Amino acid sequence: MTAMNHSNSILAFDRSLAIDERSWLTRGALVTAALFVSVALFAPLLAWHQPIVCKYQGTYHFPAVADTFSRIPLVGGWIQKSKPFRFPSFDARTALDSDTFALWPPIAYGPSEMIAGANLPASGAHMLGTDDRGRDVLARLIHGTRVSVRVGVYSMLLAGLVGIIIGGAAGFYGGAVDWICSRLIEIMMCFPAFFLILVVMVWIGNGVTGVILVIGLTQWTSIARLVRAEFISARELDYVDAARSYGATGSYIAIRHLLPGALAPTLVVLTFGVADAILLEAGLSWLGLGVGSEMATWGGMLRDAYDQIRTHPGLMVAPCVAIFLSVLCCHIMGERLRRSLDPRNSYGRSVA
Amino acid sequence: MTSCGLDCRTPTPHDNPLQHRQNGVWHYLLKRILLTIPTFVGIVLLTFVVIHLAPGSPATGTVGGFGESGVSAANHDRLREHFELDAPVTKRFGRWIMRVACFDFGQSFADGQPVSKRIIERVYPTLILTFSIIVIALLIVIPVAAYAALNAGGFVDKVILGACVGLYAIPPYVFGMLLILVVGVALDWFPFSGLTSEDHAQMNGWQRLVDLINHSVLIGACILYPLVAYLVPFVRATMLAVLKEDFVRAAFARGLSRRRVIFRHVLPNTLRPLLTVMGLIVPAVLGGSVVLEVMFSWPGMGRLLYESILQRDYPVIMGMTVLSAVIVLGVTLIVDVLYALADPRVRYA
Amino acid sequence: MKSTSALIDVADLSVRYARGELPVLRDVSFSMDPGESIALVGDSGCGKSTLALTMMRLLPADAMVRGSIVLGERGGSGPIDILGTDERTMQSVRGKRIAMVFQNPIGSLDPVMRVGDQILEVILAGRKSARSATRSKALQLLERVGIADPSRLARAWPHELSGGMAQRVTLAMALAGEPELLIADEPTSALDGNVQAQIVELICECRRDSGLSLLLITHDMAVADALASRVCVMNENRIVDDLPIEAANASNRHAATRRLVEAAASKRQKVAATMDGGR
Repeated sequence: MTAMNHSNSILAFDRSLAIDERSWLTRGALVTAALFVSVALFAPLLAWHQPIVCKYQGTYHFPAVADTFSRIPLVGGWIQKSKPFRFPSFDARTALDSDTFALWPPIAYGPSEMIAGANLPASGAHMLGTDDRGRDVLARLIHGTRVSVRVGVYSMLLAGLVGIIIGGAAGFYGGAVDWICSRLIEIMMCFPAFFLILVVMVWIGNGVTGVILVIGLTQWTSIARLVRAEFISARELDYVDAARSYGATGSYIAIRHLLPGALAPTLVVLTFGVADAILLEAGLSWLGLGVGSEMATWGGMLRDAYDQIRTHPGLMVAPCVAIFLSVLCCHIMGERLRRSLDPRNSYGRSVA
Repeated sequence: MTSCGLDCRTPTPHDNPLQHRQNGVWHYLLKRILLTIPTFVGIVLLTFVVIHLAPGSPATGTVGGFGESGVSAANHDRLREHFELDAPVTKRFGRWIMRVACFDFGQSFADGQPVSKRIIERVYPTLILTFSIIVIALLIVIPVAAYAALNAGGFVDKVILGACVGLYAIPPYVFGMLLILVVGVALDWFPFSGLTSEDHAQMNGWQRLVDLINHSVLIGACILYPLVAYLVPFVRATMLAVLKEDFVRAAFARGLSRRRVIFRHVLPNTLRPLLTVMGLIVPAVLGGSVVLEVMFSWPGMGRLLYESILQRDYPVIMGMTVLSAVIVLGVTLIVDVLYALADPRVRYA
Repeated sequence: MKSTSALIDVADLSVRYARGELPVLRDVSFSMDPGESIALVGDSGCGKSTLALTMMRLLPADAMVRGSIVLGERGGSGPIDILGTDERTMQSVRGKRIAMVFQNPIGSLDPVMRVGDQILEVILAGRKSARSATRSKALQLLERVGIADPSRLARAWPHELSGGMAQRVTLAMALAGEPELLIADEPTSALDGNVQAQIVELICECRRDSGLSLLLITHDMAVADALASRVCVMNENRIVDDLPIEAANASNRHAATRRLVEAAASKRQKVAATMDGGR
């Protein structure tokens, strides 16, 4: 009697990519994502045209630190006014002489600072070289991370909020509200996202906030559809009836019972959405219609590389790798999240 | 159980299966077609809002715009005139509906041609390219995904899935630049700029076609690979789900051959969900065409939109926006109708 | 192998999955004579359906099977070793020598193919015959399973059928290949009481007409009583009792057998009580 394996059977089971908790793929994605976020948060401490700490006219100043924290919403203004971070505007390169104390960031160049040599090859001073206008590529890459992460995270938070409100209203109230919300979703889905974003950008102009608003306000449809479906299916469940029979009010049921169930799948869609937002922003910046040409962005760097693709193709490498890695990270994390919600499901982005 | 006296030849009341079939399809189709009307009105309304209520509306004269200039004084007056910004809102909206319904968006600011004419000559290349790429994508996706699903968990399956995840993470414009660099510049296999060669006018019909295809290979590849990378895992997952259905096992138990079960039962059930995805793919491809068409200097819809934006050619911009949404609306409608005809269960939904 | 005259002989059959720790079948042996009707009863999850699928060789690819299943000779062909033979032979066994009816009748029909086409397909499987002859055979089959208007039903979609109707159709498809053995896996569990009785009666009738052997898988002793002459009781992945149906009611039986018999008895009482109360 021999053990036999019916390898000719068609009813095979699915053992696909090892995107599970312990796999190196998931860990790598998490570490890379954490790296991107930290680089975005502390960009001026890594590359800036002013020192982290310096002694100027007898007092200590923290220009790069101040810049790092001044962008935090709400507390940023307070930090700029607080005493240790207040500093006179000065050009650190000329104002500081060589023997005064100054601790510079590892890359002592700002993202838009033009240095003497254009298109320098990689060297000790410029680890990834300089671009056609003599700007340090690594510094631009670091500050581009800042834009991409901000756009990715904030626009998806906005999209999540809008999607949950509209989808939740549709799913919870049903009837006429559902009809109207469903039509709204359908209308938004008819516009090629990039077209709508471009057109709205024409009217509201450049800027990171504008890009975040426009991406957030156009990318919520898949979340709304998902939340609506989750609410509708959850509404039918017995425990909601039970809650109602205890006398729970509608909004209480929606927030305490329906919303938690919808949040987890929403998170999955949002994680994939961060990748889409990063791609959209880079595309806009590539066209020169995004956050504005004065800011360093991955898309903008890619455009600069495109303009000299025959002479300096090497400029492509850094932004390409950054975009690829960030998108890949989001996809792997999203897939990992999705599997933890539904272990039976194999790889395949949900399209609903 | 001593119930064997029951006459088993008497059908139960609900065993009359065909009673609601007569009007099922037509009822569903009518409902579906009527539902496009509110959506169409919504598209018109949304574009109207974009023109008039955005912070930098042409009426306020504070259009920030891009690049060096905002809206010139001359263009600003034309805008007021074109969108009739002095008229009351209701009247303006009525006019806008009429414009959209007649597809008459006035004259382009850039060259004074009718907007519809400018748009239509740019729509053909993009639509033809889009739909041929979708067909090619399906021809690649279905066999590859079927192979992966039938060998799920195997080495080839893992390689296919891994390749899809990796490819999907490469943005098309990055891929496009790589193609230009390697295939266009270094190898010089295909042209990567424009839709026609300089001597296109002197060619005969056949050469012209080859010329057009040559100019579309690289941009087509950039549209093709994300589609394939997106659809293969989707079709594979759908097929795996179908393979686990009872009727597949039952079909085997009835002695049907493996080939017959796959081609007659598994594939048709796998491909129907694929049809619904088309409604999502078309807007994605159209949207993605902007950067690619600019990159390859390819005269399509996306590049026209980009040019119009640079030139502040508002009539063309609004015409393009409405038209793209209407195209997607039409595709979704066609897909839903086909789906209803293909899947008998939908008609009762 | 006990005897060559047996219809099917299962010996020391064990099944386990590569991903699972415990075996789903442990040393199962039984044999069936031609024309015999056996009920395989047991609690859900005790391996009944796995046994049926193993006999059809329809287990998932990661199933590890030990033991032997031998299908007796018919016509010119010798005995077939089901676990060892090639896929081509299995295709000629499935549907033509062993047919199977499943628990979920609507789910075992392809939802996007008309009922008539699915029956035609089964009749045509591995055979070449005239289209019109096949069509009339399909209609005959439908009539045989008690469908009043076969030509109209043939144009219907599976989702338009009631459960009872669909089970009749799957039964017609099972009979299409004129099999010797019908494996019915919980054929009535998904149906309403009234329809259950009709299907049981129909299976009775088919057995009378064609001398078909029946392997009935059920957890309901009442259904087993009505259809089978012998009972194999399964408990915890092995056969614990194998006896004539009349003997199942005797007291000196395995605990699992007693439990099933008692459950059937108490169900009968409850039904009777409710019916009395309803009057």
